[in-house]
Amino acid sequence: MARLMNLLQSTSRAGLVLGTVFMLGIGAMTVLNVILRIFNIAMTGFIETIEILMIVAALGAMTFAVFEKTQVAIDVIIGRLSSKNRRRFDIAALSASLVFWGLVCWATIDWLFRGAYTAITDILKVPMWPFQVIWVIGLIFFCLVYLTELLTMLFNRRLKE
Amino acid sequence: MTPPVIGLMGILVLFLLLFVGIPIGVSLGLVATVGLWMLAGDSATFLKLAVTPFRLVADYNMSVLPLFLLMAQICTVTGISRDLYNLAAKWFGRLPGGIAMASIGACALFAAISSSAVACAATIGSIAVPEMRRFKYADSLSTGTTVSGGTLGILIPPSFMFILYGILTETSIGQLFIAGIIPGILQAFFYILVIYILCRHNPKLGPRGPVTSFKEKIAAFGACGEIIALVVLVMVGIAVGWFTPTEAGSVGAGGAILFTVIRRRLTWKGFREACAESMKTTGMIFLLLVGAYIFTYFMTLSNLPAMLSEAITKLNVPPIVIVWIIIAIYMILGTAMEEASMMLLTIPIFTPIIANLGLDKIWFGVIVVRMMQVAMISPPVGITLFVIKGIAKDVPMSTIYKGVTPFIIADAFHIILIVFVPWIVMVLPNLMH
Repeated sequence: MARLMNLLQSTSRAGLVLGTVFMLGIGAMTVLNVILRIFNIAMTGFIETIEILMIVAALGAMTFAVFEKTQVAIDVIIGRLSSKNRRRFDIAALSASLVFWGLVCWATIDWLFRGAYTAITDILKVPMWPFQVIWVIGLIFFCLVYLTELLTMLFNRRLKE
Repeated sequence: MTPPVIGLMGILVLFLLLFVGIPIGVSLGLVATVGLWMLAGDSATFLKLAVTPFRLVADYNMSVLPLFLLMAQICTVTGISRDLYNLAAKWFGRLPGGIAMASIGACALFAAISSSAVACAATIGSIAVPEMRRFKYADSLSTGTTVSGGTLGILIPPSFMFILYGILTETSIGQLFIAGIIPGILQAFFYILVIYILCRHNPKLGPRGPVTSFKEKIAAFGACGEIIALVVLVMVGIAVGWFTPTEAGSVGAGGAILFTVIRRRLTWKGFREACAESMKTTGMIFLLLVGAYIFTYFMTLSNLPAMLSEAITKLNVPPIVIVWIIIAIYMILGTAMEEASMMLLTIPIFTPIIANLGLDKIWFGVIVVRMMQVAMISPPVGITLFVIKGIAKDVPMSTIYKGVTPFIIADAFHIILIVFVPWIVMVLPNLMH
C-alpha cells in the first residue's frame, strides 16, 4: 500500500509540473495573441490550441488537488464529532467520492469506445483521442487515490481492533 | 414522481450529503447522477457524465481561472501586499483610527490583484493586525477591520466569485468585473466611515499613527506603482475591449511576472510556490465545477426552477420583494454554509427566477457576491473570521464577533443602497456597451 501511495504521489507531482508548464504555455500564447492582434495578425486555431492545452493544465491541477485533499466540504457537524465518529463520516465521504469519480470514469471509457475517439478539431484537424486518453488516465488516477485512502482507513481500523 | 418532485427531493438529499461532510463537488455530482437517471434513463445520464467533465476542462473560457490566480499568487509571494499596506498607511495613518483605515485601503488595493477573500484577509491581516496592535488599537477594531476588509477580495475585480457566477449563468465575466468596481469602492468607503465614527466616539479604540511628510506619501507609490498600473491596465483593457477577461488573466499574470522579475523580487522558489498554489486552487475549483455543471443540467431537466419561477410570477408581488426574499435566504444559508457551495446550490434555481422577473443578471450577480461577503463574516462559520483568528490567536472569538458587528451593519446599508439604486452597479457595464 505504501508503495502504491508513493507511486500516486509521484504521479500527482508529475501532474503538477506538467499542468504548470501547460498553464504557462496558455498564458504565453494568449499574451502573444493579444500583441499580434495590435498588428492585425490572427493566430490560426488559437482557441483550439488553448482548449487542448487546457485539458492537460486542468487535469494536472485536479490531480494535484485530489492527492492533496483540497476538496471543499462543510464540516459544521462532523467537526464537532468524536474522532471515532468522524472517521466513519470520512469513510463515507471517500466512498462517495470513489463512486462518483468511478461512474465518471466508466462513462468516459464507454463514450470513447462508442466512437468519441474519432473526433477531430474543426480548424487544426487535430485528433482528440490522445487527449481523451490522457483524461481517462487522470480519472483512473482519481479513483486509485480514493480507493487507496479508503483501504488505508479501513485497514488501519482493523489493525487497531 | 413528477420531475419537479424529483428535483426537490434532490435538493433535500443534497443538503443532507453536504452536512455529513461529503465534498461539495461529489455531493452535487452524485445527486445529479441519480436524479438524471430517474428523469432521463441510464444512456442519457452516462453520456452526460462522460461529456460534461471533458467539455468543462477543454473550454477556452476556463483558462481565465488559473491565470488570474497566478497573478495574485505572484504578488503575494513577492511581498507586494506589504508595499500596498505601506502606501495606505502613509496616506491614512495620521487620522483617528488611521491604521485601521489604511488596512481597509490595503485590502481594497490587494483585492484588485487577488480574486479571493481568504487570500486578501490572510495577506493583509498578517501585516495589519500586528501593526494595529503595535499602535495599541483595540483588538475588536483591529480584527473586525481585517475580517471585513478581506471580503473586498471577492467584490473588487478580478473576483473568483464573479468568474464562478459568470460561468454558471453564462453572463459576461467582463461586465461582472466592471460592475463590481463602484460597489467595491463604496463598500471600502462605508468601512472607513465606520472606523471614523467608532474612533470619533471612542478615540482609545484607534489612536493616531505616526506623522508622514508629503514626500514620503508620494515615495510610497514608487514601491508598488507598476503593479497599480498593471491593475488599471487590466481593468481598462477589459472595459474598453482591448482584451477579453480570459485574455486579461494572461496579461495580468504575464505583467506581474515581468515587473517582479525586473525588480528582482521574484525568486525561483517563490515562482514555484506561486505556480503550485494557483494550480492547487484551480484543481479544487474544477472538482467543484464538474459536479455543479451536472447538477445545473439536472435542475433544468427537473423543471423545478421554471416551475418555481412561474409560481413566483403568479404571486403578483413586486420583483423587489422576491429579491429581498432571496437575500434573506442567503443570509440564513450564510450562517451555516461555505460560500462556493452556497452559490453552486442556489444559482441554478434563482437565476431563472430573476431572468423571468425581468431583472438584470449582472446586477443580481453583484448582489449574490455581496451576500457571499456577508456570509464570510457572519458568525459562527464565516471563513474570514477564522482566518483572522489564526493570525491573532490570543484574541477570543467573542471579541472578533464584537469587532465585526459594526461592519455587518454597514454591509446592511450598503446592500440596501445597491438594491434600491441599481445605477451604482450598472453605470460602468452600461458604459461598456
